[in-house]
Amino acid sequence: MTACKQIDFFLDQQSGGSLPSLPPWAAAHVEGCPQCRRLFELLQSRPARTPDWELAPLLQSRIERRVLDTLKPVAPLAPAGKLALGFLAIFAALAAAGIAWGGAGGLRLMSWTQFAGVGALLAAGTTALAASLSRQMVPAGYHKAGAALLVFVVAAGLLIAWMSLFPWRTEGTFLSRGLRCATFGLLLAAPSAACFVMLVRRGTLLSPALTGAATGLLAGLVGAAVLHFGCINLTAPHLAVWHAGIPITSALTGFLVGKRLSHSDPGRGASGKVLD
Amino acid sequence: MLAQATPVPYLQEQGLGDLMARYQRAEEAAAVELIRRVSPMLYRFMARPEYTQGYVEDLLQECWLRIHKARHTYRPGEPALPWILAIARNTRVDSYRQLRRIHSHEKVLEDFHELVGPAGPAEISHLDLYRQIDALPESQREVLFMLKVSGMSLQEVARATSSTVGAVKQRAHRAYGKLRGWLSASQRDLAT
Repeated sequence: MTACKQIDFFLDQQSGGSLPSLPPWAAAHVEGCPQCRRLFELLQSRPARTPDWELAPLLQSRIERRVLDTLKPVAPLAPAGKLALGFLAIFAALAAAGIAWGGAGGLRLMSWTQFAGVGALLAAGTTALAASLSRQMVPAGYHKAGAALLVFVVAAGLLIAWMSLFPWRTEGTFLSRGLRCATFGLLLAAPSAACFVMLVRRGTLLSPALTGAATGLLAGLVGAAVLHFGCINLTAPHLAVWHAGIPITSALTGFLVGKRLSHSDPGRGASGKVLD
Repeated sequence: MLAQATPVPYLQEQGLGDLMARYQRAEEAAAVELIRRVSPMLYRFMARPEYTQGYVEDLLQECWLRIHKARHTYRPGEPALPWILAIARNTRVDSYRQLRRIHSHEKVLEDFHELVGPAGPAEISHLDLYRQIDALPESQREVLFMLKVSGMSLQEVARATSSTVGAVKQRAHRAYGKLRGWLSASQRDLAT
């Protein structure tokens, strides 16, 4: 049976209806093993065109009519790199506006390690999410598991950084200050999400829940990044609950909106930009 | 020695990328040619023994509407078949979810395989390949269909299924194992 399993690796290389060239030991095995021989014969029995591969003329013409009725030239979607840069530009513009509004009072109170540690994670997470979203906009352009893992890793990484780089002490103002930070962050995340959605909808979303979570997380990171500069309450419990809560809440909201969208709008995404 | 089959052209070797690019430029002839070349394969991909013929035809039309709406997301120069099959797969998954919610089937197509031609009982034909592939679990079926019926590479199948090459290989190898088991069982049946 081990030899049969080794034959599977040769079957992976089979293409064009022909058998892959086998080394002598594998050829001898296939020759002698009825199961492997029949499997090889079965897998190369695909015909080029047989009657069952012809579509009913009525169905064919119905599809053609529906397509041709609305056929207009469209501009192909921008390359993934350009789209990722678009996400990053939106992020930078919104974060800059948020910092101008909320101030940068936290910078003076932070050590270099704390600023650089969280700042590097925010920058890396944002870049990775922008790259992932730009690929999710195109069918057959991404790994579903990789994109889901990225959302989890970015959220968990930030949470761990806040919990490990900042001192563990609680103050009496935990709730009131926390609610203020969370409200401010979510107020920034909401318009950010709207801007990102406008860009995301240019593509075709095959996994709207996953794309929604990634978009929500990216929008939440705008709020978290602004608070990273502006918040003066630099304690681990405050950061881990209220600051981390912003990207996590917006990611969850994005996931739920995406899930809802997958039920209500199966042909998700915009039709391309029509050219004159 | 094993008989070497005459290599048959697979779809992605037939200039689908070029047709897609011309389809984006709204060339009617390219759109019609693309529909003619790809639809039979998509029909096969959508069809399941438990689906009615009308339902599969509806799925195919829905798939084409989605392809039409998403045509701007195809990037010229890239392989077109993984892009098309990713949309087709998504259409099928959505319909499956919808069916599961509704639980209403028009009429079960019992003789699905008979509609597409007879098969010789003792010899392996292409129909046996479809029949065997159709009997596999869904995740293995779609991988084997893309690899062995559409002729896509492991990398292209991984892209079409939003998966990794390792995961595609694993599903394909499980499918090979099942097919071996069925083939030896059918051989025993023939012998007795």
